[in-house]
Amino acid sequence: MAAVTASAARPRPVPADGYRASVAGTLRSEFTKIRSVRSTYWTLFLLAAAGVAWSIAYCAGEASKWPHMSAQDKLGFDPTQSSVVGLALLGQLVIVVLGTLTLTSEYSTGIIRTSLTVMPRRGVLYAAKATVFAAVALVVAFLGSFMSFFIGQALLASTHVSATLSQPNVLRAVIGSALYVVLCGLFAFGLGAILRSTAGAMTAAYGFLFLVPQLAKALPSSWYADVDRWLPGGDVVNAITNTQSVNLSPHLFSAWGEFAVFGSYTAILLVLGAVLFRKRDA
Amino acid sequence: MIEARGLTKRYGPTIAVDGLSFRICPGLVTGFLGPNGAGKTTTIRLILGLDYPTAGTVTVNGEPYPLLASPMREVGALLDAKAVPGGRSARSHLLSLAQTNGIPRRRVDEVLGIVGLSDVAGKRSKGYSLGMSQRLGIAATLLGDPQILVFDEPVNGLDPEGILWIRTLMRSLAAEGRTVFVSSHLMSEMEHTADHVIVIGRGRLIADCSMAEFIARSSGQAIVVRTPQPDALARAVAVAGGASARAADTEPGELEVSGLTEERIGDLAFAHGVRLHHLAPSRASLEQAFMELTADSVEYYAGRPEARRPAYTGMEN
Repeated sequence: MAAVTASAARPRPVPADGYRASVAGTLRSEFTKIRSVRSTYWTLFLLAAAGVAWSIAYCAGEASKWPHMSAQDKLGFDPTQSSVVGLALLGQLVIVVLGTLTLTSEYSTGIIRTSLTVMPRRGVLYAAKATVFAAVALVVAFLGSFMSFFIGQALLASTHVSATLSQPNVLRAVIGSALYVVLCGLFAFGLGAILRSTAGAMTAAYGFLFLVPQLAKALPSSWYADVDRWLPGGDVVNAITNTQSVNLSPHLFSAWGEFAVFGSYTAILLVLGAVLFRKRDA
Repeated sequence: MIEARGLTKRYGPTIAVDGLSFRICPGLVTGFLGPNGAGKTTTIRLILGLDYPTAGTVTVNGEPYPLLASPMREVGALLDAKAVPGGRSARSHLLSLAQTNGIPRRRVDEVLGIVGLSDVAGKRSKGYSLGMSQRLGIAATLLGDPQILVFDEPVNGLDPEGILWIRTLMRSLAAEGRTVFVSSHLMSEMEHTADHVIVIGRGRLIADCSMAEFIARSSGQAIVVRTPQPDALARAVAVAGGASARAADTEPGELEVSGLTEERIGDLAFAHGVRLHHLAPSRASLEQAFMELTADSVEYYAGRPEARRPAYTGMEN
């Protein structure tokens, strides 16, 4: 069992070339990763396109029905919500895919181990992934929500009730719908970190966003009124995009209140995901 | 230098790595051997900080791997040759790795050239053959021009050309003074590549010695002789103080002689008028020595009939 002595030991290589694992480098790396796969472009295009398509279809439809609408219906018509709600409702379906894949695709290919070998500070890798994903999603979601808004309002011009950004709550609804989409993506990202499986994380995300709010409707109505404001999904979107509050359930928190509730769920998942990402064997 | 002290990893009730201590010295190719399930991959994952040890420590150049300031500069590791980044091209993949450590873009094209992937660098890695994935994995290890290279089963599933390429690459990396730590479950694979061997079985250290020492230790002293007059030779050998045995299920007339040198046996045969058709030392093949060494530590027995055979019956000779 003679061990070879270390007489041949060389002096430790000094990284004179300045190669260092860094936060900035990891952010650049994650940006390279996200922009070098086709699925990113497809999902992001679909995200914006779904919002715009909804806006065109819905607003054009409302504009054509407008002359025949009752005064009651006209009063309850929310031109802002009509144009941006699609981005939030359809966009969340799309962004969940990208948010999940950001981390789980590295587990399914096995590349996560390479990523962790080149950047062994796990917290840095995790944060860089989440940050780059959120930044890219934010840009596209904003583009989508503003495009949806302006196109929708142009189509509603004939009704003379089209909204402008300076009206109360309108900017909040346009920005909020985009932020909601990004939050949904991060929600899925956190689930991906916890479950480390694409199918599992997507199923869980859709379950929380769609199934749970639907199941809650089966509760006795007095219970539902208490629970509703705490649920993720549909009513959060309604609260954020609504500008007139006449159509809104009185049991909900304010728009930003509902946003904070959903944001808290997302934060919990992200933190839990981070803890597990650091603690578990990769 | 990689140094493990009492390294232990438990997964629930199973113990994958059991109190391993070793040093991997600079400038050598160190073969890391053991049957499947011996704990080689787990050990490598522990070295790289991918798994956390249950007990013990392992350091790379004196520090736990996760604390290295420039990990790619110090260690290049190939873990799973089949792992490719799917929809991403080789160039984008390598660039994304290089960027984490601030390695310039031109180095990506350099390593693509070294492994011979320049022509397909822009293609999505999904369609890569195993040989190409392997080269991509190796390109990644070379990005930071590290002093230590760790390869986990790098030749698994490769064709002879690919095996030769990896072998040559490992030798040339070691010739440049780098440390190469390479795992394999095939002893024969290491025979021509490794200077030093660390053998483990069931997570425990079985041997840690130079290749020359390993060969010397595992080579039997037996000489294989084939003759049409085996009985006459056996008698002559017995008289001269040697021992001979008829190999059980080899060709008729084949004897294994121990206690005498080749020269002495040849002279004896000549003196007794025994014709020889074959006379050569029976070096127990390394593979066999390795199998004997690890026989007690193989995790899954499949009722191997050859395990019952007497030693040195010339499985590969």
